[in-house]
Amino acid sequence: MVLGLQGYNALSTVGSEGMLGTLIALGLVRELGPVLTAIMITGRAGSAMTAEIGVMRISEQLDALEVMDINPYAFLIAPRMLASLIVFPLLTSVFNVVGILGGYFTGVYLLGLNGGIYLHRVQSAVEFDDLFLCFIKSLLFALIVSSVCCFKGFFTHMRTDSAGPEAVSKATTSAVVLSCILILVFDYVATTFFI
Amino acid sequence: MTAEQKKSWEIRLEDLTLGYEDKVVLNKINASIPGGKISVILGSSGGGKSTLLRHLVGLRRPMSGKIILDKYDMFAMPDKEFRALRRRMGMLFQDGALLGSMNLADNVALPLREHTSLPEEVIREVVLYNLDLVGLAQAADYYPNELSGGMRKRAGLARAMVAAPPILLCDEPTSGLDPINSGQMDALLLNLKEQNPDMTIVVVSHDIESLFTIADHVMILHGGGIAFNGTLEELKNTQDQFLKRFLDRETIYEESRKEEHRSLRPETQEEVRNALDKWLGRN
Repeated sequence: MVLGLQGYNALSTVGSEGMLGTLIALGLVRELGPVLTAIMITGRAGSAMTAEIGVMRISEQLDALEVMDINPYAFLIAPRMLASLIVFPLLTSVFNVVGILGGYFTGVYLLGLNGGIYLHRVQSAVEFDDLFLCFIKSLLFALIVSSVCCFKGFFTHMRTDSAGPEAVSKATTSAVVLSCILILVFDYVATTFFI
Repeated sequence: MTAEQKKSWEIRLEDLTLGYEDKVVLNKINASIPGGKISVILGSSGGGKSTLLRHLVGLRRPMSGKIILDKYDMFAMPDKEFRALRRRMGMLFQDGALLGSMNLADNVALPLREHTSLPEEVIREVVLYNLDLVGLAQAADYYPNELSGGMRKRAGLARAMVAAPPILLCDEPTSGLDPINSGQMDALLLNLKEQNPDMTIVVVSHDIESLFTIADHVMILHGGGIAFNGTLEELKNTQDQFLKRFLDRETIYEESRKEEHRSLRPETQEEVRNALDKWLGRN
């Protein structure tokens, strides 16, 4: 909705308010959708992954798995990575749809734009390549977030700056920060690669 | 490794040096832990008891030296055989180390589900049998965070025992438990030993009462080495002053009572008293 407001104001200065649908659809599908979804999932689920695995590490649960000859990578990390690969594209799609509807609400109901034109612009602007880029980015971010968050938790005991519960909290913070930075870096790399 | 059934497994430590990064905890120790007995490893805090146990179960590699289980040099084996050997060990961790996301039954069933193709009803029966052994059959559906420390330890013991390992390692099974739970844990270990006479049980502890209740064999670690390694009878009859002092809490208590400690200067005492009076509203 904010994108709708800002976009409308910017476009109206050059008399192109009708392009609001294009701006919102492409902005969301190509960039904001995958990036913001990934950052939100990092804050919600990524931090939980690090904290949970970190607690398992300091409470010897991972050692217990090893003693039982259960591979902790296959038992703990692989399912989380797989789940991320499924969920990231789905939530990114939801984000995109909600974002486009929010732009519609702002543009049409609050700013008086023609609803038909908005939807036509959305439909004509978004091509298969844009959706493909969005899908690839969400998969890439799923891999980044799940691997960074799982491994930060898994190696909590190897932190040199802290130990025990403090190490878990620091690992969680560091996993979220590193994931967010990597999301932005790889977003640039992916965009460069595909454009 | 072949599937031969050895009666009881002896553990030998040869020139074993253990530690973390560059810090040596135990230096070039040589000892034998007899098979088919309950051996208790004692020592002061930070003396290397738990470190030794983590090496015995293969969670860490020694800096140098060998750990030989029966005739197998643990750390000289290829990874596949090393893992096969480790499957012969069960371990009870200090707080049970139960997986928080699973209930007790699933925790205990985990090794069977992961490594065998037993049908679910057979696994359930084995799990309930093992939980019943430790007095937790009624708590099978409880999650670890719903249990007391003693119950978690007993559940951890059930999980360690579910694959009937020839070697059982216990890390401080009675620490943090009240006398009743401590006594129950000792009784559990003795019952297990009775039911599995060939099982080698190694218990790390600093519970002297537990030592006299369960131990056949004792190893005492001190100052980076082994201060004693022998039977409980030999330990009881020792004339070594350090060992006698180690086992005699009364002497340590008396000595500590006689120690002189620094005292506060009178003016400091007065100042602190006034500050506390003011804080607590005392006149």
